[in-house]
Amino acid sequence: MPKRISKRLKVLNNVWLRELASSDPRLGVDLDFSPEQLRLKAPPGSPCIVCKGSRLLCGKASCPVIARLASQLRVWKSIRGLTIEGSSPPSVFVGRFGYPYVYISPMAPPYGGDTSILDSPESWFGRSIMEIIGFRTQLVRGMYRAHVRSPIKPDRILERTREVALSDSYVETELRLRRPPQSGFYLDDDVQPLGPSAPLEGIEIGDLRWNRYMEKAYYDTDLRASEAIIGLYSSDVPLTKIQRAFSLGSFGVEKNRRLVPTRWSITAIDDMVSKELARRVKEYPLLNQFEVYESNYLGNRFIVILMPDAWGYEAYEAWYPQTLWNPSSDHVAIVTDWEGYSGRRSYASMGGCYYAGRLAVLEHLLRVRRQARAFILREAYPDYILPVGVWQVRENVRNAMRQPPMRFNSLDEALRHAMGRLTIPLEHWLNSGFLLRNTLKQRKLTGFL
Amino acid sequence: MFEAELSNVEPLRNLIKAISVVVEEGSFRIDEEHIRLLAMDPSHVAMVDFELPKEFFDRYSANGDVRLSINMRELLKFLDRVDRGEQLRIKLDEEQSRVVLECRRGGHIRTFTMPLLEPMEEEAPSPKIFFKASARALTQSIRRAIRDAALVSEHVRIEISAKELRIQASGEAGSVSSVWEMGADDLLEIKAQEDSRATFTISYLQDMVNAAAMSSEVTNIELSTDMPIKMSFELPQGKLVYYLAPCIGV
Repeated sequence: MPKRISKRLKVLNNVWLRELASSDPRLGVDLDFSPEQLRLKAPPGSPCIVCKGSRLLCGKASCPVIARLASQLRVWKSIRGLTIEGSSPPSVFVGRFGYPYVYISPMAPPYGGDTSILDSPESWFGRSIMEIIGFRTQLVRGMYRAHVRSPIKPDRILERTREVALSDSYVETELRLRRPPQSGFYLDDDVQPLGPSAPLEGIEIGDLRWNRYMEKAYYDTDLRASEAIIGLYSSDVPLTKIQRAFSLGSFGVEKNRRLVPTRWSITAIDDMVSKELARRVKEYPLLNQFEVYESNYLGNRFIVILMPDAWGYEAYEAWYPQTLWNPSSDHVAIVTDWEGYSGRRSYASMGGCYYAGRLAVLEHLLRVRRQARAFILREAYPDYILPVGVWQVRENVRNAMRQPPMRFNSLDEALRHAMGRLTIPLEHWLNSGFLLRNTLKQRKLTGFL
Repeated sequence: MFEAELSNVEPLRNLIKAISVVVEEGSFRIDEEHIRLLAMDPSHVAMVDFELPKEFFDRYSANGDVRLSINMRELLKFLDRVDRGEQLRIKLDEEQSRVVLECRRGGHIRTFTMPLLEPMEEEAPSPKIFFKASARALTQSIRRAIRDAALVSEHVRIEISAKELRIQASGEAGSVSSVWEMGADDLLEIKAQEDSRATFTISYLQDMVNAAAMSSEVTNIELSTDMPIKMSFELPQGKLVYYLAPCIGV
């Protein structure tokens, strides 16, 4: 749910930057910019224009704009000319605007060597927000427009980009750009960090080895995409690798293959895999105690409650006043969705995080061979300054499930402990969702037999 | 051995749908006279008690006590493919552990087979509850009242006294109630040893009543305060009964 920018405001001569440089001498050194390279845009009413990073008018613990800007300026300075030579981690991006004509972008930083960390969220857990922003902004995107059906008859650029996506490790890449990367920079406090981009003229890639499982799925043109994905997941191919290849239309029945915007493909994979895991978990016996797990990372606290009951899942997200998705100043916003034993058919209103959390919980249940009803309670605090992506939820919940749980004999005790770890009182959680409240009230027939 | 034939698939399909709101997988017990199923949903909140006599079918033969466990959703997918006017034959193929559905019309035979599942754990016992009140009413009328209640709440309260049957719900969006006074057209019978009321999760009730309304015109509701509800849907042949545990403290 990105903000719609209804009016773009050109800030002439980068006044904002100049003032920022004078207010923060440390940053000033980095700000060796030229107005042609950097265009600032701000949505109407953005507090950033007034604040300039010094007053934290957005209510966050530190200025997200400066964090992004400092990182991006460093990258811009290292880009010379129209050719980006470096190793792709590997990394590709498919945009969602203009569907069915979307931008596909192979991405690479302007340097070589082992860059795999730049796009492997599976190993990011524990890194600081500045490091994560750094990973994201170093990747230069060469943008190339293609119709979503083009994987059936790919041209050269698409073919090479897909090879990058199917690669098992980092790939030497040469991106030839049509013009120097020009980064439109949004002065706004909830924009995902992204690297510089420019239209792509051509791409050359060095030797690479395909991931052998993905290679097999790629050449099997009768294998349905969902089956291919479950198969790859079972062969321990990391989810983000599957997602990259999937978004470039590498799997599925041949005539159905198409490009899938990155954002959609992440959730599509989480959903497909976790549906399959839920099917398997339903065959296991019930958990025998109430368990509470916890993880804290990047200003987000996750509490996971598992209880002995048939599979069911409810996720809550609580946004503090003036955090990312809750600009209102005085009340907490809670978003929630749930599903019962037979799953859900409509798309969860809270979006991709619902599916990422479901996946992480089910992975745990499968590991311990137990069935349970699961609740995820998430609180996002002011030090979560930038949206970093759904991977944060997946890895945070995975981390929670790796910790030893607190065990209890009743839901009341488990909730009492959980509430001690969270700041929002129980009644708010209960009033905003359905499953948890209903679980407290609903009796079982077994008590009457 | 089990084999049965019927010329109209519709009533059977509706009943299987009614079972599938409670269980995804069902284990039928088949003997010379009946097909029966008694099962609880995975959370043990709802139960279905189902029975079809052999007269329901045009032809019916069964030897001994047969268990037939299948996935209801998969079975429904196949039953949906059977056309009106096709003669349906259901066969249990014990050797290959599968169910065979044969549809015939003229000289054309279509065959579907589906695998049997491992039989479930032991069958649930049916609840032994002494109900203090009961009401017999038109299924459509009850169904409408529950759909109304779903507009405002996730829970619905059902009350039966000697004078009236009442279904009501309230929530932030407002409140809804339906009252059938004694002698109302849609209320066929009402009895109460004492006034009884209990609250239930609407989504369960709604699924049950919606599914059962396709097979049944009259419902018999039995109730005791804060105890499970028993809803018996009257069928031309056979039995379709649901039990649903109450909610406390709503």
